[in-house]
Amino acid sequence: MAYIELYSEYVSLKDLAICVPVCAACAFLLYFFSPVPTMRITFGLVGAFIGFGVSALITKPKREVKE
Amino acid sequence: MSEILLMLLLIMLSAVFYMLIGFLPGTDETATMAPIAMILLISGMDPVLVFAWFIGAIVAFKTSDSIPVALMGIPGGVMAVPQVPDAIIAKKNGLADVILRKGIVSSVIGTYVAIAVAFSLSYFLMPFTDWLGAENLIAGVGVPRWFWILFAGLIIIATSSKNKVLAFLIIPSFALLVEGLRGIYGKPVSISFFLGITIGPMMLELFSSFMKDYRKSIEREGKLEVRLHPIGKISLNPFKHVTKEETIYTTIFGTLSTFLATVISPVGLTILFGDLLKTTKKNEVEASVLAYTVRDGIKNAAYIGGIVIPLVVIGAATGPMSAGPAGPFFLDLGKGMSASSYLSSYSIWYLAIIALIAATISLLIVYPVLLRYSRKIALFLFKHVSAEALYALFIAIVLLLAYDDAGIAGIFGVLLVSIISGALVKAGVSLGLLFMILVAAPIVTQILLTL
Repeated sequence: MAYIELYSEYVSLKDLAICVPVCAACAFLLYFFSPVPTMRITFGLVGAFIGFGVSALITKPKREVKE
Repeated sequence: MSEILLMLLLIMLSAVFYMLIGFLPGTDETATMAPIAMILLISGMDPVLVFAWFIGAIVAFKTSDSIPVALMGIPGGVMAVPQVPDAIIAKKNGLADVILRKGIVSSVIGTYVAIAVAFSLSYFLMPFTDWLGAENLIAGVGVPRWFWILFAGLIIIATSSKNKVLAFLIIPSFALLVEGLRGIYGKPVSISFFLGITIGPMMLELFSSFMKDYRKSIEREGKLEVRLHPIGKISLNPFKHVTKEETIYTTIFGTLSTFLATVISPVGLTILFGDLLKTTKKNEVEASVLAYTVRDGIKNAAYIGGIVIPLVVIGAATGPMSAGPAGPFFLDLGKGMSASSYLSSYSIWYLAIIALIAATISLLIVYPVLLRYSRKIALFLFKHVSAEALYALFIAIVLLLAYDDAGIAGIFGVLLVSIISGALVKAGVSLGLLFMILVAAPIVTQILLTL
């Protein structure tokens, strides 16, 4: 399947459709169920980064590095 | 004590994180820095710590974003775009490692020049702070005097937009959009709109790709080919890398950029001064190496000057830098005051020392790592971190903050502002102008309504 060029990167819309919900779900999950209610935003940010880690693991970069 | 440790930890984390972000293409400065600055401030962190974090982050980010330019000819951030043509000329002549090390050392010079100039200048301008905050009545509307600096910035940036006519006409219209939504929400929301503008160009491109015909035009077969230039071992001694001429030019143009970035776009300054320097050399390769090197220093200087002077002296965002990546410092984050007004209660020298510590720690991490391991880091990131994961991270942060701002309506408000911003940028209006209109919106609409 062909990719689209977005901001000088090749992006798969299918992968993006997986990564955005993963990151958003992790962010909102920690936001709504924050162990410290006054730090909801901070936990939301931590959630977003967890989502980023998961997304990076489940998707492959569309770059071919030539040395 | 714990506060100092927390600050050191924050600076180190931001230096490492933004050094890596600097390597990746498509990482716009505002999109990657503002949402996190916003979250740190909203979560109640001491603005002094967030300021230290911010300085550590910009120093690392602006030092590393030219590495992919030198190694691959791809900009690692919007600010590194003007360096691409010169890097290609240098690379063709086998000078990739020369510009890599010169660029890094120039960034170090630019950073310290900017801190020295920005805080010294702020010290002399401090007596004007109260004068700038005083209001004059214009058409029955109380207009603070700093607004005219912002207004000058608006005019400069509208004039330098590719589409000048639309840029000027959109100032009142975009202000009305912002104030209209604020009226509907029933509160002076800033964060949602700010983030909406930030991700605007990317959102427009993304949503446009759902249109079959448009998608065909941006469809690419195969993978993005990235060529990594080989690099030999580089000495850590900074004096071995830059010439006297490069040091002098970086100091002069770094000083000018520190001051001018209060109202002028840092990218504009990088282009302007780099092009000016190129005219001093007859040899094309020499001209490109000089321009590339000095531009690297200007980037750091403009970013630091662009935040420090508005933050310390003016107390309001007056240029594309202060209204953009540093924007969260000037927004009312729900406590009736902005981080900038909180920071102004500290002595200017205290903030200068914080900036100096943050920059030095950041450089102590970034400088040796970049000189020695640039190639390995680039290889790892390009092979393991997908663009989708990175874009998703920032979209998720925007959704979260938009929801926190105004609930579900906030998310749709962000969508509206982002698509309009994206369309305006595509039509040739500078993104920096939109950030500045956001700051000027309440005064602009009040004056409009009295006409």
